[in-house]
This record gives sequence, structure tokens and C-alpha cells, in this order.
Amino acid sequence: MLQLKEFLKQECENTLQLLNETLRHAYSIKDGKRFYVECLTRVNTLKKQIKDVGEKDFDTQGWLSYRLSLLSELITRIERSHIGEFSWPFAEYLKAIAVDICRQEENLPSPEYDPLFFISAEGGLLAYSISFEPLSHDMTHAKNRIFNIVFPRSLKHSVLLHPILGHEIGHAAYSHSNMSQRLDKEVLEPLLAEGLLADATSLKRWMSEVYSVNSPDDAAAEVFDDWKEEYLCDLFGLVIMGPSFVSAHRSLLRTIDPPGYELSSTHPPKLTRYWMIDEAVRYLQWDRFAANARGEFGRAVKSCSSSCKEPLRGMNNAFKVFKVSSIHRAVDGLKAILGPIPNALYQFPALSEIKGMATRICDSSPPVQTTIRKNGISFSLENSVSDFRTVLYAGWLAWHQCSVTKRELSFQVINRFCDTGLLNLQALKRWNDEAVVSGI
Amino acid sequence: MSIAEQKSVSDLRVVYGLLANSALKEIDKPANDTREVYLINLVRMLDMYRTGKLTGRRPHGVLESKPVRTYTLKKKDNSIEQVQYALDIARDYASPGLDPENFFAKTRQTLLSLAQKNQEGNVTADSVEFVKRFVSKLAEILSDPAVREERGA
Repeated sequence: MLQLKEFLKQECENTLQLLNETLRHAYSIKDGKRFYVECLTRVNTLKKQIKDVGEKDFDTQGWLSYRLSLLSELITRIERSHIGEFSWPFAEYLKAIAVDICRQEENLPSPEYDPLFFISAEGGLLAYSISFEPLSHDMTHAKNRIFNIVFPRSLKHSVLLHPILGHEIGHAAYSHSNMSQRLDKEVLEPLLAEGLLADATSLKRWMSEVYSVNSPDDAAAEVFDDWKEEYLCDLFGLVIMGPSFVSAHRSLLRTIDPPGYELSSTHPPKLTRYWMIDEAVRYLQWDRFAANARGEFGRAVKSCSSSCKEPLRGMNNAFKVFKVSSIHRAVDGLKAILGPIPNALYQFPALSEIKGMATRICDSSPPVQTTIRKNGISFSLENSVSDFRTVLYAGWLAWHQCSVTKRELSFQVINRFCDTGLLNLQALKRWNDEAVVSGI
Repeated sequence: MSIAEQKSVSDLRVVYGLLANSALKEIDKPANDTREVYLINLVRMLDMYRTGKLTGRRPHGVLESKPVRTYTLKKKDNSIEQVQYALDIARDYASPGLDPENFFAKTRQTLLSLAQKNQEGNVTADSVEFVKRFVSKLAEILSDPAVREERGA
């Protein structure tokens, strides 16, 4: 047999060859080199550690074997990242927000130690995720952290469902120690302080009363840690993605648990999450159009709101696990943390902007438009660039507007219009950026 | 179940011990990529230690919900507590009486300057010695066979 250390030395050479055969020449021009260099650093570092490890130190050799295996898996996943398999305008926007949030909170020199994000598609409706290793696992051999945003391949153009990834950015942010400490103190502490799930003991009592499940203390503590992070990430996703997060979250979560009261060890019951999110929406006043919008658009707003409330009809009060004021304080905490990070928090749009977009979609046009103005012999674009998240919110409202006015526009077609809208937004932003640079 | 899935729990003592030992071997060498990796990760480790976030927890995807499982007896993993203990001892050894926040600020800045190839000139010999005292004590405790063996108890 091969001795483990000898095996690992050979596998290092194999991984190096794999890297050179794949990432050295492939991937997009912009980021390709950074991924290649980071993976090369990781192989070289592991190689050095394998050379130095004691012949009988099987604990460390086992760890190095595990890391080497994960590295070759990572290289293969990066290689399989194909731009045609997902909505790249959405992916680019999402990546920009995620990098800004993670960069800011790691507090290391930028861009040298910025995290790297790559995007890929997987099969299955539930593929939405941002996968990454816990920081402690990467720290023996990685210079930059690598995150993988994953979209379901079948939902490539369903951009209205993509805001669910805001929840996953929450997990990525919570994996940074500085950010994590602030999120604990300024969001989770106020959220959990006075409700039914204040700690593992009260969670255990709640599970026993509501589900008749008796859980040992160790298990309850583990469940409590998982659940509180999920509540946090729901609020995180909401404040960064805006109202479209609510529709996407509810649509997707109902596919795995239609009634919403399944008891899971990893995630809190969905009814408790829907209710918490709705209370946060009310506090943020993102339901304000329901009171002052009129006509077709007003009916669309009410239809959207009503459809999101539908899963909560008849809900037992036991699922209202927090005090409403605690949810408000948690939202305030998130706004305080994310507010200083450019473009992280969603800014609610003016009624005229969102109404215009939704109406354009219903009229079978992309939501983003610009005006061409003639100045003498030259032409210029008159742009006010919207937020990509407003396009998604408009898409959801357009879906309801088409429904209440009996227009035959499918969800798929509306998604394509919004996807095109995101592409147009990028073009306009680029025009504006270049106009500033060239002094036009 | 694939081979990779079978390796579910990692021993954080091995991880941090490997990091400290590797850094110690490289710290006096001229700037190179591997040395930079170790030093920047010591900074990350210090941040986790300072904020009480030493953990190997892995989050679950938003749609990756798993039903409540029947609770099975698990061997308690106390490696985080042991790493925390080792860090406490090493900090105290390197800087007896120094206020924790001052220790973190000083050590973080020194490691960061050493890691960045163009910043090394800003670090005094005393600061390097200070960091080495801390890292060597950490490596020593985490490499102690008694600590390792306790995992199997």
C-alpha cells in the first residue's frame, strides 16, 4: 500500500496538474487569474505542510487529506461555472453586494484579502445556496476566502425568485467574526430578549408545548443555535433585497413545506418566519402603497400583499414567537450595521417609479427605459439609474397586476422582461460611469 | 455516503495547532506567499478569539431544511474550549498583565504588517519577538500529546 504521506504528496502533484489544466486558461477574464492564483497558493501551502508533517502524526495527515480532497472538488466546481447557466446581470449585482458586506467586516486590507465569489448552477429546485467553508477550516492554507453562489439550473431566468439569496448573504456575513459579534449583539439579542424563544431552555419548552416533542438539553442547544441564525438571515435577506424577498421566500419555502409548520432541527417553523418577516415589512413601511395606490396598480399591490398573507390565515398564536417590538429593534440593529455599507440596504422607491416599471412590464416592455436627448449635433442619454431590486419588486407587482386585470402574461415572460431590465440597468450604469470618466 | 461526507467533524485543535506550528516555522523567513497565508490567518484567528467566535459550525442553506432527528448520543466535542484555553494561556504567557484589547490590537497590527510584503520594515524586532512568544506557546500547547489524546477519552 501507499503510505498516507506519500499518497498525499502525489495527490498534491495531481491537484496541481488539475489546476493547470483547468483554471489556468479558463474562466472569465476578469476573475480567472485571482481564482487560479488563490488555488495555486492553497496547493503550495498544503504541499509544504505535507512535507513537514510527522510520519506518525495521523491527526494532521487526516486533516491535510481532507483539505486536499476539498480543494480538488473546489477547482472542479469553479471550472464548471458557466456564465450561460444563470442570470449573470443578477449574479453580478448580488456578488457586488456580498463582496462589499464581507470585505467591510473582515477589516483586512482591500482588495488584497477580499473574498472571492464564483457562481454556478445545479440541478433541483432547492439548489439556491451560497456555499463556503467555516473560516476555521480554511485558515491553514487559504489567503482569500472563496464563496460559491449557486442557482437552480431550471430557474435560470426566474429572477423574481433569486432574491431568496439575500438570506444566504446573511450566512456569509455571519461567518465573519467581527460582523457576527455585532449581529449577535445588535440584532439577535434584541430579537430574542423577550419572546418565547429567548434561549435553549425556552425553545425546549416551546417545542414540548406546541409539538409535544421532548428534546434533550444538548440537542435543544444545537437547534437553538441553528434557528436563531436562520431568523437572523431572514431579516438580513429582507433588508438587503427589499419586498421582492418576501414573495420569493414564501413561494420557494412553500414548495418544501406547504402548511408551514414542519418541525425541523435546522430551520425554525416557516409560519414563525413568515409572521416575523411580515411584522418587519410593516415596521419598514414597505406596505405603504396599499393605502395610497389607486386603480390597477393599487389592486395589484393589494393582491400581492394578500397572497403573501394567505399562508398565515388561521395561524395559531403560538407561532408568534417574538414580541413585535423586539422585531422592530432587530430591524433597527440591522439597519445600523448595514447602513454605512454602500448599496447594502434596500431603499424603498417612489410610487411613480415602481408604478411606471410595473405598468411597462404589463404592457410587454422591459421595465427600464431611458430618454435620448439631442444637444445640437450630439445625442445624450437622460438616465436616472434605478436599483436592480426595484426592478424585481416591480416584477412581482406586475405579476399581480396582470392577474387582476386578466392580462395573459405568464410568470416566465415577466421574469424575462425583468431579466432584460437588469441587463439594461447595467448598460445604463456603465454609460453613466464612462460619461463621468470621459467628462461628457 | 461519499468518503468526504464521512469526515463530518473536524478537530479544531489539529487545525489551530497546524496553523501555529506552520507559522512558527515561517515567521523568520523572507516574505513569501506561504508565510503570508499563515500570518494573515493568525490575524483571522485572533479576530475569532477576541469576538468569542471560535467555531467550526457550518450553516444550512435556506431550503436545506432537515426534519427533527431522533437524538443519538454523540461524543462531546470539547475542542473549541481547549483551543480557547490554549489561546488564553499563550496570550498570558506572551503579555502578562497586558490588557486584552491592547494585546489584540498590538498582535493584529504586527501580524498584518509582517504578512504584507511591503510593510515589514514597519515592524520592530521587539514586536516580532512578542508575536513569536505568543505563537510558539500556542503551538506548544496544541501539539502536546496529552491534549491530543484527551480527544479520544
